[in-house]
Amino acid sequence: MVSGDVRRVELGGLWTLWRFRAMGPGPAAVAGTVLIILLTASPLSALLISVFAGGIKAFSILVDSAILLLVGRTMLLAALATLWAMILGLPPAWILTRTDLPGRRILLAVAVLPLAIPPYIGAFTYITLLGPVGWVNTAYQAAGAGGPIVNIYGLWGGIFVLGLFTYPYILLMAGAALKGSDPALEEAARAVGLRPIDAFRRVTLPLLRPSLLAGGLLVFLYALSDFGAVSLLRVNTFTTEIFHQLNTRFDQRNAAVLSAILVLITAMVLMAQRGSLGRRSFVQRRSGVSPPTIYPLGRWKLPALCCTYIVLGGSVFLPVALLLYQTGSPISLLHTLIAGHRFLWNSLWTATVAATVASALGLFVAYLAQRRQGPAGLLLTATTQLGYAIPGTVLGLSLILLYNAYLPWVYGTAAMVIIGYLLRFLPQAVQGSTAALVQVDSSLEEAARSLGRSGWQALREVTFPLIRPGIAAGWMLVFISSMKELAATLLLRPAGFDTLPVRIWIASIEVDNVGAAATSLILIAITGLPLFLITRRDATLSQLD
Amino acid sequence: MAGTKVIQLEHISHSKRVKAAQSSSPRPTVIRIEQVSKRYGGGSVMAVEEVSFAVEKGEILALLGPSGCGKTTTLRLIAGFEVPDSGRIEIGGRMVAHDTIFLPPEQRGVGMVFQSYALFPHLTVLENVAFGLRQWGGEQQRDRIAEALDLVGLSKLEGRYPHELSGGQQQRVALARALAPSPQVVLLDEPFSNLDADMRAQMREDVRSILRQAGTTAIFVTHDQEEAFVIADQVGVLNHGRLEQLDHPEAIYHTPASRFVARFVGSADFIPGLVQGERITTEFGILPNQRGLAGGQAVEVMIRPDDIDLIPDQAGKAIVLTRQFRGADNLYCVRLPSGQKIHSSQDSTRIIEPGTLVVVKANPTHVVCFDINGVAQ
Repeated sequence: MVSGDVRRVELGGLWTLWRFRAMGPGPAAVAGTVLIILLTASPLSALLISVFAGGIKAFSILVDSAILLLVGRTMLLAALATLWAMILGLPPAWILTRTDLPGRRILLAVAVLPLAIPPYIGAFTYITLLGPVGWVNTAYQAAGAGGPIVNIYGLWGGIFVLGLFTYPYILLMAGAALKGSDPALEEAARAVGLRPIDAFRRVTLPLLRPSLLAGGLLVFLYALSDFGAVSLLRVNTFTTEIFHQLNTRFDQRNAAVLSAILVLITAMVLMAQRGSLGRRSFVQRRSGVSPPTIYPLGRWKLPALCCTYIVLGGSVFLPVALLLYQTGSPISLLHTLIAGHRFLWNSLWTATVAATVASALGLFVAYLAQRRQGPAGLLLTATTQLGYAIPGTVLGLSLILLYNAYLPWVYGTAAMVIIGYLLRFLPQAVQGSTAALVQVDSSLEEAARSLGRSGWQALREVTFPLIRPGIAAGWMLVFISSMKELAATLLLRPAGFDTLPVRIWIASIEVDNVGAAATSLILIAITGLPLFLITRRDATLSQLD
Repeated sequence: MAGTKVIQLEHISHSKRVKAAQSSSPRPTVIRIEQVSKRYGGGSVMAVEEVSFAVEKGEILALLGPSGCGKTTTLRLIAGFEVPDSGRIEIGGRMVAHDTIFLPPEQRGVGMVFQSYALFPHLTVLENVAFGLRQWGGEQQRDRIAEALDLVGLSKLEGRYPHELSGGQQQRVALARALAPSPQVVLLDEPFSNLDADMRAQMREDVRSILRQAGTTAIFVTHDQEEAFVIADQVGVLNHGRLEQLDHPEAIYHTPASRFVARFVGSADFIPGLVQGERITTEFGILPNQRGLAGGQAVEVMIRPDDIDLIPDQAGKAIVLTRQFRGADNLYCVRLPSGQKIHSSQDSTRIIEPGTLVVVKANPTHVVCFDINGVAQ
């Protein structure tokens, strides 16, 4: 061996040794980590700075009795919407996974579709139906009876609509748990003499607790953060109040204080969830266990079918039929499409950019957390999860505060909208990549290394092809969520930059029923298709917001 | 006889023993590990402690030990997936790990067969085997792939994907993939643990003959002593990160260097004895003092069940406690007058009912004695 050669090897070896010893973070990883943490953590910091910069006076709003009412109303809305979603979601979850109901596969795929119908579209359809001058009241009055009999506006309407369009979270979570439960547990309960109904009540249901809690938490957080549906249904909650303070009264400080309270409530809910699971083990299933018992329905077939169809009818068939009816003809749909092609284009390109950037960052975070030891991965996972805890309205406000103060040249451009989507939905992309990476054993990368590939080459030739479907699923989730996002878009968009959700919201406020219905159909069509594809793949649907 | 040579070496320090074994053979050394240590968890857990050994070209070494003994870590240190805290590793005469030198896995010329096989699920059998042959030319590459697949007998399945293969077939593909680039050494991590029992015996034979045919130097890790004995030329027994003994399979079994090794590679009883000149007196008779131990010493004599014979005798002082029928033999547990229990393996057809009084006779070929610390004397 030539002496020069030896030195080269030694230098290369030193470099590698440093990399190995340091447990990974090369300069690129460090830079990426810092960048992502800055990106994700800075908006909330800006919010807090703005709150405390006002001193004690800023908190005077807290003494206002109106605020207690607001807290109470918002919590009541979220709690009852969650209960309503459980009532709607749990029976179909059991019927569609554990009985011999005919066509349950197709029904299960359909039952998830309300996730493609954002609650503000749901609110719009139910306003046309049950509003003070809605069809039901009009028909009732036409029949010669007295005044209006239903009014969807207000708290109860908000609960009704939010629960109706978020129950799939419960259905998916509980359904997955029911499908995966070990039949031996129920059989053991039967063997000690419990009747089937008691076995369900005393074994199956308690074991469903974590999935019900997880699904319920998603619904609860959704209801806390929702702006579109409650604003259309004229329920005054935190999000609408923040919007009001910001857009009508131009009071950023009040909006910031309200936002901080909402973030605090969200954080407490999240912590309560952690605590409530306790030390009990709910892990039931190991691979190789036989599939759960399927119960024959017998004479209960008709009631079960009715129950399922009522839920699906209220959340999928009826709203879609209403939208179709209101749109009128394909011509008017086409007309809306042509007239509104700019909104469509705005939605498509911002969502595409956000989904692509989120997927890249998500892969980076997931890889660091899964494959390298050290605190960087954990820290990144934690900060990227922040997006979950921050409602769109709050995120919008925080970004306005941040970029207005420090990066004014970004403020007022479409980049703001994209950053908003990115921060809010990054967790979905991280989740998609993580779920895929967990499936790829690190010995595959080691095998590639032992066959002459460098770390990068192993990642490119082995890991990446294997996790591509997971990344694609994550991309689609971020894309769908971004397409649907209303609150953050409303706050962050440059003047005149309308997206499909913004258009739907404005049209339904202006009672442009045809425009709102046609635009809604376009949005549902665009988001429904990828959603349907992901459901078929059984991907991490639970992450959908 | 393999055993006697080792007995003479017993008192010589470990590294000297390695050198002695080397000088007796003209074959070049492919792997040399010297004083290699590796800690985990910020230095609190010693995974591998000052391990040294060498493997000659074409030789198969088994690293044997219970789980957590450091055998897999040793393998990963050689492959380059772990960085040693201290010590030196040489592969094919090239230093791959020492102080400031650390060669990454892809530059070491080491083939690896993983416990899970780690076949690339998105590639066919052919593409898996071709994965390590990127640098080879077109025709040369095709020939080499054909050769490797032929060696493991899977030429007909080259178009299949890994999930379409049985466990044994996957194992063969993993072996072919590791062998294809003609590595200096092939490392196998618990290669048979994922196979059914009947398949395992077959694959043992096959892997041994494939490695022999390819003339490859190999190190494999196992917790199954039978596996190690069947396949390996040399067996290294690891315990708590230390190499307790490195020797031929026969020597490991018949003349273990410590009580740990004695127990790990087969069942054994340890009976107190007293050295008296040419003899060692024990409860069931007198054994020859084969190694010339100093008189007056209290020792524990290792007795394997196949060294013990039972003769039913009304005047016998020992009593049969239990009989376990194991198919090929009967394993008896016998209580000696002192209360000491001892095991004896007898023919499958030789049945002595529990409760029978017997005379115990020991006729070991190798009398191995341990001091109170469990070190062979």
